[in-house]
Amino acid sequence: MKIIDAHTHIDTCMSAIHFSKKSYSVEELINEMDQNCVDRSVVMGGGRPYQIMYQNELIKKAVKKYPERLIGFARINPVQDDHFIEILKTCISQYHFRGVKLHPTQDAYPLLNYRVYRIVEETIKLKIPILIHSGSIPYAMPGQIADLAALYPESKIIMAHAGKLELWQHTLPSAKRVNNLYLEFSFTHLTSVREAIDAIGEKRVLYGSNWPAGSMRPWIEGIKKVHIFTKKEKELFLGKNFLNIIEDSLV
Amino acid sequence: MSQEVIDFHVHFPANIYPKSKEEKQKQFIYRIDQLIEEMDISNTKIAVISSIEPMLRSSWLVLNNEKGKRYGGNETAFEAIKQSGGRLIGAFVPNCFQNVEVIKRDIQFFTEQYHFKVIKIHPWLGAFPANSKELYPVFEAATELELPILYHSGTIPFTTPAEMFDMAKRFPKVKVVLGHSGETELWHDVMALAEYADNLFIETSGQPNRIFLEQFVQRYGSERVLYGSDWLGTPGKMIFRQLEVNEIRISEYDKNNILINNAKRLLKLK
Repeated sequence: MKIIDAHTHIDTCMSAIHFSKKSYSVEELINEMDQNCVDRSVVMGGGRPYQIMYQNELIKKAVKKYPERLIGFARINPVQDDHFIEILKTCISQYHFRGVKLHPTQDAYPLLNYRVYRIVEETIKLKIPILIHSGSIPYAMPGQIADLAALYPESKIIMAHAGKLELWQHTLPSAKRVNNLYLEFSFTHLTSVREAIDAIGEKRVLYGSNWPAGSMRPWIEGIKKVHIFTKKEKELFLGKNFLNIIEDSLV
Repeated sequence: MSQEVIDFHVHFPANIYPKSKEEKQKQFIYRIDQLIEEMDISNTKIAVISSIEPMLRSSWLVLNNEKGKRYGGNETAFEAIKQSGGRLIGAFVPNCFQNVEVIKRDIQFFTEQYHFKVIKIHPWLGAFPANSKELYPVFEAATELELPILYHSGTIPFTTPAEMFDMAKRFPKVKVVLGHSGETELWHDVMALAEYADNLFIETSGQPNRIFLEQFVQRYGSERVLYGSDWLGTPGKMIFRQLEVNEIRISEYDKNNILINNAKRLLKLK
């Protein structure tokens, strides 16, 4: 069974940056993956909004060092400067990233605006997914992410954290509205995944840890110990669904 | 799970909206077995349970009309405790909108007669600010009876850490435990406020950020952190939450404090 962690960071992330000055290295990430039998991880920048290119460069180096283990996503901040589409194109064509990460909370912008629309349109052309932070008021509400997915039914949008505990009650009703919205479950728990599979089916749920703030082990070991999933559901959740999302990308 | 733990945050019964009285009774019978089974699998020695029903203000009106019920659903928690063979300890959920004498009498009754050892307050479900003046008698009773208070925290509106900090400062002898540690949006408030109130504790359920927890332990010590699962009748949650605590990069001494020793101290267990 392939295990793919759909949400990790190196250096730092929003959940760490205000508490700790520690930088989490790619070696630490690989070590964590090895300890938990995670085959590949999606890795993306999680630092401050004004350091977007610095973070993307770090990811580029990490992916270059561990091409079989890491999949890069480009952190794009559409309000930082006007060159965000060029940055996106560079990350995809030259850095070989396979998707985009948006953090409307950390970078402070509403999702439903024309700059974000340009990003979505670009990802549709490239057939790559966008992973969007969720679970925070006011810019990262599950309903807003579903609105974006509904506006662009050809896009592939991943709701990171599946609304977290705070907005979980919004998540499944939002996911039911559209078919191109996938849920990544870091910062929730296994029983939320069960509820989601029952509500929207087994093909739109993705394992993610949000490492280094989140841990891989509770998910990997927990899913073995807690008998609430079928073998097929485990396979899809832990990796196969993510592979299906990126299999037809043009990059 | 190899180590025995005390789970400071469990709900029983957990179903808020059963479709009928029959369904409610059926679920109750089923779920007590399920709860003990979940505890056995996760090596949970003792769980502190509170009933969800009395957290809803409406329950006090509806349930108190049922024959033999006067305490908004707290009775059901006690029924479970009686069947548990000493595995469960009660957290009493007061109706803070009753008059002062009734609030204090109810708390005293449940602690003395039913050996409840914690007070649970859920301002989000009850729809009142966590530092509402209606809660002062509850805190006065907690002071007199030396009971810790477990809050739900982290959900806007009504359950902000600042409101709980306010109560912790007003009632410095009460150990105020922030269930969920402010969850994943208000942890910054928790980290800042804990410095100014030694009687402010945190509980780990719904707090997946291990970096926050590591930093909290580093700054304020592991003595102020309690393990909880927030079990609501869903299989696997206790195991999952314990795995999360085990992933916090702290010493074994600190982990033992979180998983069992601090709860023992607050519950006055040997």
